[in-house]
Amino acid sequence: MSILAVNAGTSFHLESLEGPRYRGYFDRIIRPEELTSVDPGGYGALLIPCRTPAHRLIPHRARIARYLRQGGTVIAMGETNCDRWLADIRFTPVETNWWWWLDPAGDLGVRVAAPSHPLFRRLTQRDVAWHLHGFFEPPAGAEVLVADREGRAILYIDEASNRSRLIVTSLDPFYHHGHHFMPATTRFLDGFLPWLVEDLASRERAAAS
Amino acid sequence: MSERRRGTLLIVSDDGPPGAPLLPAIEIGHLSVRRQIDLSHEDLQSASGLILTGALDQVDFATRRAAIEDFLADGGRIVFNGHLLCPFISGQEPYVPLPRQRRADLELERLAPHPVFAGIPASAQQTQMGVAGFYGRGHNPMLPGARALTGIGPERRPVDWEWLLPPNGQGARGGLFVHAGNDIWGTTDDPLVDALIAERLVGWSLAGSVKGLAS
Repeated sequence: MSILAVNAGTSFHLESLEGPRYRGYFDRIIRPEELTSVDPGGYGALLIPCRTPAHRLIPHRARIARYLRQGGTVIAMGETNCDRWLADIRFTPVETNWWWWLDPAGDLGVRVAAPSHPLFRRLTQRDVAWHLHGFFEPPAGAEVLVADREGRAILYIDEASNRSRLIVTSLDPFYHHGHHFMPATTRFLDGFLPWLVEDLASRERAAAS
Repeated sequence: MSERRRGTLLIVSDDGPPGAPLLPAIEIGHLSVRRQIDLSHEDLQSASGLILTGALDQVDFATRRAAIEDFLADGGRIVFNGHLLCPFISGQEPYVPLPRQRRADLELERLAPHPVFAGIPASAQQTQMGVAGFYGRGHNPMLPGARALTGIGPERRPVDWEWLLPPNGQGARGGLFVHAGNDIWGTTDDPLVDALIAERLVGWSLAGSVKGLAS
């Protein structure tokens, strides 16, 4: 199974997607506008990195929805306004506390909500806590992996809604990693991307057996 | 100067809205908002300046090289914020992060006077909430003939610089103002300083095609 990643061309997208650290995880990198001609159906997952502008994805809503109906995996990362280009996303933005870490006893309140999930063989709680941009109300049956202090979802996987799989988060690691700023975000990608590759491979094996 | 040239365009590459320090210039009509996906060749022919944010789609912008070089030669000015990864005119080199990013490596120093920074010490841009690094963590290498305005770290790498072309046949001087960090109008703890920098950058971007303001 392979990953099709979208590159909107901002410096942090270029650094994160094309830079040597993570380039090998992506089988193909396309511009948002290429979704008119490139069928994601040939790929195991469609990755939309954080801060990809929604106005460049909205024209491709139908193609993304079709890919999901066919059983694809879409990863929608933070600050992409994904409620504008995916169906059934309920998102509430929150005012971001950029400075919580200045207090030595500060705690952003982000918690690993499903510690037994395989993702957390590769990530710890400190790898998911940098900023809080908002929370989701996932559909019934979705698995919440990371939550805020109030238990509201900031990273969840929805496989219950139909044949598809949505991995949705308000975390924005590509942005900070690509700005050479915020070690937790690099640790997040160091764990998340290998997990995703491993997960896609195991799904492919399961489908073949 | 070209008679066609009018105001400056703020190129909005993300979902917006524009940064608050830019709003007064938009309200009085010196700055017009243009989504990058809507930016046309005609826009480049008619604008005096372009203000680019850190969200710029650099892949798209680099494909416009010939039009941008014509724009600059005709007296147009460009304000660039962020890390340059896709050169958009000849001679540009990609962003270089600081090899070390400890507190002392992030010290700012004004290297040359410039109207955008008049009366604003580098110390005002050094930290936000006491934290250094938002202003910059590296530099975009200068074009030949550029003038370093602000240095970062003990080696005073040029985190801000200005590059002006010689006056063209109409007396206009196109050029670049390059800042290698977060959008420069949002890098202090003082909204009045941020607003002043935004206002002055718009003024700088307009000056290239106005005789008498070209230097």
